[in-house]
Amino acid sequence: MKSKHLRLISQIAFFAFIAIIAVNHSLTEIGRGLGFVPELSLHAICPFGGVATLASLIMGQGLIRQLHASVMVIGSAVLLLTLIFGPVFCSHICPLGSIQEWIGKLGKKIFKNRYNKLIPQKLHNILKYLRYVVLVLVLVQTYRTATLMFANVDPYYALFNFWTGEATIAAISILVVTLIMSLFVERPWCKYACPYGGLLGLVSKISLFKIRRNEATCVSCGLCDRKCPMLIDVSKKKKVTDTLCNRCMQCTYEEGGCPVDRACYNGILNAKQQEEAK
Amino acid sequence: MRKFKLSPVYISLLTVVIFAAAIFAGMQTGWWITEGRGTPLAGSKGGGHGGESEEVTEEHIVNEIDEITEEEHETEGIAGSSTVQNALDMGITMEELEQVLEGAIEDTSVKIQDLVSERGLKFGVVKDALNALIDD
Ligand code: SF4
Ligand code: SF4
Ligand code: SF4
Repeated sequence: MKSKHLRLISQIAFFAFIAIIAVNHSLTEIGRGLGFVPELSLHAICPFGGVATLASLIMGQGLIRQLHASVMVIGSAVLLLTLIFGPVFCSHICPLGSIQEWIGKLGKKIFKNRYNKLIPQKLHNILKYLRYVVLVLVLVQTYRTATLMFANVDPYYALFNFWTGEATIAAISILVVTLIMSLFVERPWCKYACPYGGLLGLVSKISLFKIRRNEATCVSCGLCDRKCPMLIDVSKKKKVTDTLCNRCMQCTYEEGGCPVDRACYNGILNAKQQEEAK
Repeated sequence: MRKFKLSPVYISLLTVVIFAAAIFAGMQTGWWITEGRGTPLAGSKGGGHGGESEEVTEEHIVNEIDEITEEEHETEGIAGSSTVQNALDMGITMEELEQVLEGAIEDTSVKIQDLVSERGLKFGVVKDALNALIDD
């Protein structure tokens, strides 16, 4: 089985799991909960809640009011994964990332070669830092209020709460815009606005495994660049340290991104270090 | 060279396995608390700047989480998992409970939500009524 199939299975499984949890939470509120599903609130399993909680604890503001201690477990699990493999949470688990990617597949069919080229590279190179502006704003707001204000504009929260009346109009509007934009731009929220993705991207700079390119065997065909949904110039790098890389592996030989075996791969050491280690 | 390279298939499998294992470890160590709101730590002002807050130690956090587990039903109000006993502990009387739940209650360990389902009531309405009694 190819990893892209495994990745898709993982994405569908986590999306379905979160959707069932959210629906069950609403059913429980009216006394019709599904007995076989654990009764959890989204606030109990939000990994970004783990970051906000940790930041709040470090700054002496205590646990954030809407959140539950389990977010620290999920947050730590994602942190551990990111330290080893990079932001695989984004490529394998996050339902908001998955739904943008799935809508993007439809967009690819409609717009063919024009898909994901709407935003000029120069503008993209500036806009990608917006995630860090959002991250700082969210942390400052969380610190000031000790509540997760971000939920008021969070499209992830809106995705699984739009029917409950708990999601704000602002969050639902951002979700709708994100989903429509996903038809033209691959993962627009992930690329330009997601504070959690931005944070994981920063952590991934020190991840053990990275996407690497072997200059000795690379034939400079540029296919890896064209395959990369996050618009990274893989063919110009020895190792990908861009914070946007979510380890989707679409640039690698195994996933049909690179035509040369072991020219673009996911590994610990670069080609020269590997030769020396032999 | 192969041993320094990780196939994408393994990355996908390991991602799911490590994620599940970390959550399992959290459950085993008592950190997997999915009920009850977080409440501000002692010393935090929960609504202003934290300049004068107490130093937060690991022990402090663990103690707070233990307290939250013990007091969650007291601090949070009626939730899907609350039992009749939890409601009594929150200060609602048995008469009030029987009135809101439209009938006699024999067992205090039963979940309010189960009584609501049995009696064909709406949990949201019952929850609001009971929470209003707690607030009074
Ligand atoms: S960048 Fe944000 S929205 Fe996108 S997949 Fe990662 S966590 Fe999810
Ligand atoms: S295609 Fe390669 S470089 Fe681009 S995001 Fe995926 S793994 Fe990273
Ligand atoms: S796809 Fe492979 S061979 Fe082509 S430029 Fe990228 S790394 Fe080099």
